[in-house]
Amino acid sequence: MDNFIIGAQAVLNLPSILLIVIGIITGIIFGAIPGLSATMAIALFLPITYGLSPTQGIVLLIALYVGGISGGLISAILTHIPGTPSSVATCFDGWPLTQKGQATKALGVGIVFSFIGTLFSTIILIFLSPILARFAIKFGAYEYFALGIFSLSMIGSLSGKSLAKGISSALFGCMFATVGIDMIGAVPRFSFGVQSMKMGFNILPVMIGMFAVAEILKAAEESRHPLQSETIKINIKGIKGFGFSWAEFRSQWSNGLYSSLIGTGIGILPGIGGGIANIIAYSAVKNKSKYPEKFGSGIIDGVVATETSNNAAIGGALVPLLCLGIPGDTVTAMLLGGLTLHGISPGPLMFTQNVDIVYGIFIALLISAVLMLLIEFYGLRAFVALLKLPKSTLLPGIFIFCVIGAFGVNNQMFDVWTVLLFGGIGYFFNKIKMPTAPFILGFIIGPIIEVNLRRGLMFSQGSFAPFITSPIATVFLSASLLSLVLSGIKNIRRKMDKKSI
Amino acid sequence: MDYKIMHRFKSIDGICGIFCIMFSIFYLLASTNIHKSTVVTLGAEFMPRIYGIVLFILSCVQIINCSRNIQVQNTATEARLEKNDKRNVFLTFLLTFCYLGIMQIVGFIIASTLYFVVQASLLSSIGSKRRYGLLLLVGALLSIGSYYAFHTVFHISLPSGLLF
Repeated sequence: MDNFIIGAQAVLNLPSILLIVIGIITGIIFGAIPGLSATMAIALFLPITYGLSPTQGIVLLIALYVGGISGGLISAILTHIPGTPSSVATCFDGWPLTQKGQATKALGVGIVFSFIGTLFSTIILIFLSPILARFAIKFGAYEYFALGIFSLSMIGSLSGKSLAKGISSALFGCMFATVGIDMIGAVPRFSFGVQSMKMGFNILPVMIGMFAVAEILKAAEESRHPLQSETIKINIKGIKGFGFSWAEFRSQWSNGLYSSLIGTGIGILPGIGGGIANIIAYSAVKNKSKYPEKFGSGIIDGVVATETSNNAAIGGALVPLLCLGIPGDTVTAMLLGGLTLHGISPGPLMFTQNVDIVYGIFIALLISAVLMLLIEFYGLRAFVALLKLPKSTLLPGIFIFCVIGAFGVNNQMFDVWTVLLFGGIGYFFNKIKMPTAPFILGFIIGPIIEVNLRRGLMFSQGSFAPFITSPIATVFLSASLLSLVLSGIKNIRRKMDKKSI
Repeated sequence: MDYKIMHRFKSIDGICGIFCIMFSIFYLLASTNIHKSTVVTLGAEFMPRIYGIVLFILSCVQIINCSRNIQVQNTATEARLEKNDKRNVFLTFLLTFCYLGIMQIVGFIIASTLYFVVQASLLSSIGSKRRYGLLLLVGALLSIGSYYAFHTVFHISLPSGLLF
């Protein structure tokens, strides 16, 4: 308790609270604009924290992180373009809800469950972080490989009608992820002599292309249709609170808890973050649901799963950072930079030497979660009002920001051209009815599987046995097999039902 | 080619299968250029080959499934790709290509302003009134505002081109 008082003393002052408010608002804006992400917000603000005290600096970065991850839901729900990789799966049910005229409800659900996800993972971080960190470091190459395979086995529920197309899409993702310098042997692959391609494709331009450009091309295709409306009709009048009922909230309680656990669990594992957590949580909740066929048609369950899990990954990612000094994803790598910038080394000693910072971070996370809820609640109607803008004006405006975001990744035009390339691919995928979500999953998971398979084989001197004998790996591989078998059975049943009809 | 076979390859699944086969062959051929390492157990070419082979097999499965499920009556409707405005899609793609192409020459502000005006006109529906003056103003404000925000506050050096 004394430690909490020390942390509260460090954070509960006007300058720090103001910095949290600024961080949350900026984070939400960065998260909401496709192309600009939480990672970019922290990277851009990192030099600014140099002039602040260590606590104030880290508090600002934490607020940017929370706001940035949560803000992604706004564009995902309102425009079908995810603001960040963490909100890719939010599009699946968020956008259909908007099309049904229920954008306020979708946003409200997303905001409240983002808050719950952040809160849940923060509580876990405060009370269980040392135990969880010790578990996380047990993950070696074999376990990561198995986890990667398990994540890929979720494709079944993301594939839509054809499992073959879903797997093919994921394979395309894995294939495009192989472009660039090989991470083990430093050998260039598929660069075709182009210097920029040796760096490979970054996830941000790939995601922008697959979703934003593909959406613009789709809008261009539909714009000449005489019955096509340029705006979506939303009735804001009469909507109270967050736009959903208490009964709806109660019906999602277990879903939210389940997704929080998935998000926190995935966040804890270094190298895997909210980008994967939201897709896996969506698939897991869909598989568990009594009405999986309704997913993708616009039900709040999908939004709850993705938004709770991606925000829960925040607290999870901070577990290895604070306890072991190991960043869980790119954002926490920047936070690590922010801490070291002020001469603080995260790790077990931090809990005794920098109590004010550690507990300051905990308090800042809690305050950020509450402020995020309030700011997004008061902004809810303003966000929905964006839909009053005609698509013809909104989409080109968003694309200009996408260009800035893609350019800002490495300050080079190659990433901007990548957006166009993957936009073409995304549009083509839509035309041949190949789902794009498995592509993104494959693009993120592919390198994890490859690197850990090859690294594991180097450790075992070419033997595959440890991949099966490691207890954690065995659990994940068995779960993957089970997931694939169940998907196969579901597919066969669906076909048999169709035939009988 | 008889009617059935023609429709088989015109159906979406057929197109998808053929595309996947072609891509897997291209990818497998390109993977032969990867330098083979003698130091590590599995070289850099191992996973690309696995991906390529699996995709090839899956594509064959898709084509076989497609030909099995073929029902001439249904296929005729399925095969008909949605008749939407392909011309507009092509123009949008071309416009984006030109936008990115000229950005380094004329700079972010001019290129983005022009892109905004033309793209907004392309996306506006038939019969809607196009206010070019307003679009130009909004496009210019958006481009200038974002350029200065990112250039001065966040030090992202967007292409400046002719203006600076």
